[in-house]
Amino acid sequence: MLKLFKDFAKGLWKENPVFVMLLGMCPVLAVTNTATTGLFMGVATSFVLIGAGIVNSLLKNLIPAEVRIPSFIVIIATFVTIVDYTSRAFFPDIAASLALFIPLIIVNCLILGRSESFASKMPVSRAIADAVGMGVGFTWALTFLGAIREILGFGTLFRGTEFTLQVMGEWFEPLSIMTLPPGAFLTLGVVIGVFRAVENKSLSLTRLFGNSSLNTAKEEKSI
Amino acid sequence: MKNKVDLTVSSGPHMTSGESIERIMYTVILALVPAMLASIYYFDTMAVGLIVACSLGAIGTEFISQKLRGVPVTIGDGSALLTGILLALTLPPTLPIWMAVLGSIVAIALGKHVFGGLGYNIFNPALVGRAFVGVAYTEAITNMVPPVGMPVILTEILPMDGIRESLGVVDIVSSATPLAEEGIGIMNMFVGRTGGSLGETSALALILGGLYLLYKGYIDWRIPVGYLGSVAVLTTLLGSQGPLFHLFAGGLMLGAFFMATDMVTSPVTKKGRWIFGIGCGIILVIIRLYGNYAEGVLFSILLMNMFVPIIDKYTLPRVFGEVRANG
Amino acid sequence: MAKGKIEPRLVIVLTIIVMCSAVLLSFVHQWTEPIIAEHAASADAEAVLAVLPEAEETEFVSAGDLIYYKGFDGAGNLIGIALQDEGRGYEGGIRVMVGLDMEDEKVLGIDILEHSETPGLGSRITEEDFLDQFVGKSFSDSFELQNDIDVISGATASSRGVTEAIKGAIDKALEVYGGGE
Repeated sequence: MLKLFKDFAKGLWKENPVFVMLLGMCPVLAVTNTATTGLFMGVATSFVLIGAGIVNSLLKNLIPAEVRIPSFIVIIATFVTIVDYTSRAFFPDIAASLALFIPLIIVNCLILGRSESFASKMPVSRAIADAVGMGVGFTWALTFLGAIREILGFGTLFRGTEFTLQVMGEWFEPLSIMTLPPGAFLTLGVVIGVFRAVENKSLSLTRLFGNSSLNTAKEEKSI
Repeated sequence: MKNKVDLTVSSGPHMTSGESIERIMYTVILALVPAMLASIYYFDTMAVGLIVACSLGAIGTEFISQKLRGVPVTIGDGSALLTGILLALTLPPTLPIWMAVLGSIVAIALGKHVFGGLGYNIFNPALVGRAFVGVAYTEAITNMVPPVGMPVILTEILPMDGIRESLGVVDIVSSATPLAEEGIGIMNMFVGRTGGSLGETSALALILGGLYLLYKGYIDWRIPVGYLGSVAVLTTLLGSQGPLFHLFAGGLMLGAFFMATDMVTSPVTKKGRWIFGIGCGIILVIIRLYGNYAEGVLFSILLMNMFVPIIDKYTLPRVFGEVRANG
Repeated sequence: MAKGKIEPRLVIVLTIIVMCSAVLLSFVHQWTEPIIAEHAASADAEAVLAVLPEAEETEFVSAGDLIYYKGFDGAGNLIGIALQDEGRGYEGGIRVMVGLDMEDEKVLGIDILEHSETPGLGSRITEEDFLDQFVGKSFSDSFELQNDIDVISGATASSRGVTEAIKGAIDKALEVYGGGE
């Protein structure tokens, strides 16, 4: 049980597909201009990830090694097409704004990567735990990036849904750069940078108010 | 625990030039004084506000960034002040102050300290800030380029006679204005009686500052000559408005003398500087003549900044006696 | 595995997987297709009503290659027709729905269906200030940028794209209606 939990938990932070492994950068950069699209993309990808993980894990002994990759691709493509049809039928607005990026989940290297390196070698239970963990990790990362970009770029949260929140007041002038591709790169870079810096303590708020003595630990490490 | 000791290890011969970061920075700032005065003359308190806001924003961000990173605070060395002033000179006078401050924060934090501070930055920080504000608030920043036939806030606010007529000159996109053909248009642009951002207006003031820096030896003549020269040649061949218009229009003088020549973000070799300057010129002309943006100085320099490491790599002279690897 | 020889097992497994996938997808397709088609139709109808403000009912017409909509008021009188056309903007195509009064030969309404112009610059083509200038324009107007049409500051290409699309729609409509129906 603990093992299963570990499989699940590593995707959340320690091996987060976006912030640590930098997998699936195409949707990360392209569809995170609002929290809505980020969340939707994350859920859609998670569905494919979990579905493909289960099937690939079940079939791991039936599929000969030579056609492993083609089989995986067909299985992944099947799940992606299901997502594509159903999202267009039941969430037409969001599907329209994601447009081509839903079919493109097929080439998201996160999915093939997990199928290839994990699901195809593990029992179904562990494959599910891993896929759910990675899916949740991917989803929260996309939603988080989308939220930052949406708040700065539109002043709202979850726009285009019934739950739209007006975060910023009247005074706020939306920064349109945040909704554009450069905003994606800036946000991703700054977020990863801050996470890493906080983790290795090379950036610290306390220093701002404390005395300005050099961070000796870091200095010595860098030499 | 450990005091910072600078121990430079290098092969001889060694010579100290007596130059320091402070001295260079403040000299460049001094060279910008004519341009600042010109902008204050033309745009009055709006210019003062922008220059002060950007300088304070840049210095404040430098202070906070260095504190956060735990490195010595060097806000006195003038480099942040210079970035702030340069940024202010690229902004249109009607820009709200807080947008300018935002630009200066981005310039220092994302343009400089993300890369490791002064000397490690790939891009000219002031231009990074300008690019950010430009893309974030496209409407506010394009106010300086009012096309013909549209109501313009500028013309109502600005007291200067002559601005109204010459405003069209700056609009390169629509290029419908024949004003540039007339001598008076060029003359206005030369002394600065045109619309535009603070430091774009007076080519004269900028050239004065640039010549002073050349005289002091702080900038290499190859970059501005390569830059301005290639623009002049290319616009003579390709442009409809002639080289004089393109040389004095927009922020070219500011870019050629003060931004492309930034020591940190330009090549170190002489051949590399030629390549850098001419590359900037080519990109500028392509953007101005064929692109949708009116002004190409910003992106021409930023794009060439990216090539600096590779330019340096291929133009560094071989060490005496070194054999070409695959020769 | 020997070179150049393919084991039949590989073919069989892959074929079975592909067949299962095809069967599954055809079920999903059957289930979702009508819903998707419904969405598309209602989106079009909305756009048609937007450009023919007085219309209450619309009718889909397909004449040769041209697809357009007729708009009728409550009493069943023909108000105008609505059709789509595309112009080339700065970033890509701009799809525009245009409502036209064929009797008085003037533009009734404009709606931008799709565009990918730069936010803050070209995207301002969707603003009413810009679009309203086309309403009431006669087919015989020149539609010349700067003279007849106010251009959005800094977005000449986008403005031109919209104008082109409207002119294109008028030309198409005249082709159909030109000879009298």
